[in-house]
Amino acid sequence: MVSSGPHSVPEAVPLHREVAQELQEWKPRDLSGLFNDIRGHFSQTLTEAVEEGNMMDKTVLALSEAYKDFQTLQQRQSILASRVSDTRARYVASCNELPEVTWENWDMYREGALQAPQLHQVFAETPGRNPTVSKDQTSILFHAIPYILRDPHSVVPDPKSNDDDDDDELQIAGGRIELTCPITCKPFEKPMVSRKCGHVFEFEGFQQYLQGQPSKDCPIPGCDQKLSGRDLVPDQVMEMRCRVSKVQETHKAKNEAFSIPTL
Amino acid sequence: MSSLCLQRLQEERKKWRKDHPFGFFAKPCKKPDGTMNLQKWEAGIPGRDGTLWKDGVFPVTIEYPDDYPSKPPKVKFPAGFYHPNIYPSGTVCLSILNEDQDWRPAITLKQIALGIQDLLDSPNPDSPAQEPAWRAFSKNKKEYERNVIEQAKKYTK
Repeated sequence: MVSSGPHSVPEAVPLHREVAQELQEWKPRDLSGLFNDIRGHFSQTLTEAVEEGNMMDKTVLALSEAYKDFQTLQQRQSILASRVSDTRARYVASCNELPEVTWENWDMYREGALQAPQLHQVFAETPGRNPTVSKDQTSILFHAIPYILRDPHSVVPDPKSNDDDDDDELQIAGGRIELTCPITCKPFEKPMVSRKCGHVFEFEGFQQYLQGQPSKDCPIPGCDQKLSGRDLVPDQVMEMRCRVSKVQETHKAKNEAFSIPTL
Repeated sequence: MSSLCLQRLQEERKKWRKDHPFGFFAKPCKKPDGTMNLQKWEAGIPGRDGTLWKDGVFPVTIEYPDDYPSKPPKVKFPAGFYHPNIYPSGTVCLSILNEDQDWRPAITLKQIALGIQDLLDSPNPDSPAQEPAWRAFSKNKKEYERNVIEQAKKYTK
C-alpha cells in the first residue's frame, strides 16, 4: 500500500557535494576515434570496390546504404551524448542549490518541503540537442559517389537539407570538373584541396610553385586567397574521380577490343 | 629547366594541339640541332573580326622562363610593333603576363593568346608602352586607325 502521507525516509536527497563534484568531472567515453576508424574502413572498402570494377555491381550501392545507417547511428549517439551531458549539468546544478542533508532538515526532505531532483526525471525532461552535422571527408565522399559513378567529371551539388531531400532524383549541375592539375596540367596523382577556396592542385606541383616561400597567391586566376602548404588537405573526392575515370576507361578499352564490328 | 616547367610545357603542347581557338597557331621553335625547344614558341594572333585588326595574323614569340609556371612567359611582337601597350622592343605589357600583377600558374597558353587578341583592339590608355601609337590613340584617332589598318595589311592572313 502506498501511503499518501509523509514518507518515513525522503523520496530523494541531494547528492553529496563531493560526489556531485565527481559526477561533474566524469567524462563519458569519447567515441570520435572509433567513429574515425569506421569511416576510414568505409572509404577503404569503397576504394577497393571501385578499383575491382564493382561499380556497376550492387556493392557500392550497398556500401552507401550501410554508410547512411552508420551516419544515423552516429547522429543518435550524438543526440544521446548531448542529452546525458545536459542532464548531468542540470542535475548537479539543482542538487547544489539545495542545502546538504542534516538532522535539522531531514524532516523537511521527508515531508516534501525540500525536494531533491531525481536523475531519471531530469533525464526525461532534458531534450536532446540537434546533432552537429559532421563535414568529414568520408561523408562528403559518400555524398559525391553516385554522381561520380555516373560521370567522374560531373559537378556534385551541395548536400541539401533533409526537408527537400529527393533521393531518387540526382540533379546533375552544369559544368565539368577537370581531372588534371591546373599547375602541372597532368592527371592528378596526389590531389590536395584548399580548405580556403576549394581549388585542387597536385601536391608536387603546388610545392614547386611555393618555391620554399611560406605562402603564395592561389594559382587560379581571379582567386584572392593566399595559400600555404598547411591550407591543403588530401582530396578524397578528386582521388575517387580519377580512380573511377581510370576504371571506366579500362572497361571501355576492353569492350572495344572484344566487340565485333557489324556491317 | 625544372621538371615542372618541362612537364607543364609538354602538357600545354598536347592541350593546344587538341584544342585551340580558330585562326590562331602556336608551335615550339626548333633548336639548331633540329630538336624541339619547348621553352620558346612561335605563335600567330589573328585580329578579331569587325575590328581594325581583322586583316592580320600577328606574329609573337613566347619565351617560358625556367621557373614557369611559377613565373609568366614573356610575349614579344616584332620590334617596333604599333600598339599603345607594346614596348618598342615588342614586349607585351599585359597584367596577366606580369608576375606582380595578375599572373597565376593556372593561366594556359589559350588564355594568353586570347588575352593578347583582346588587347589588340582594346588598348589600355593608362599604361602606355610606346610613344607613337599611344599619342595617336589618345590625340588623333584618325591617324591611329590608319596606321593600325596599314600594319594589319603587312601581316595579312
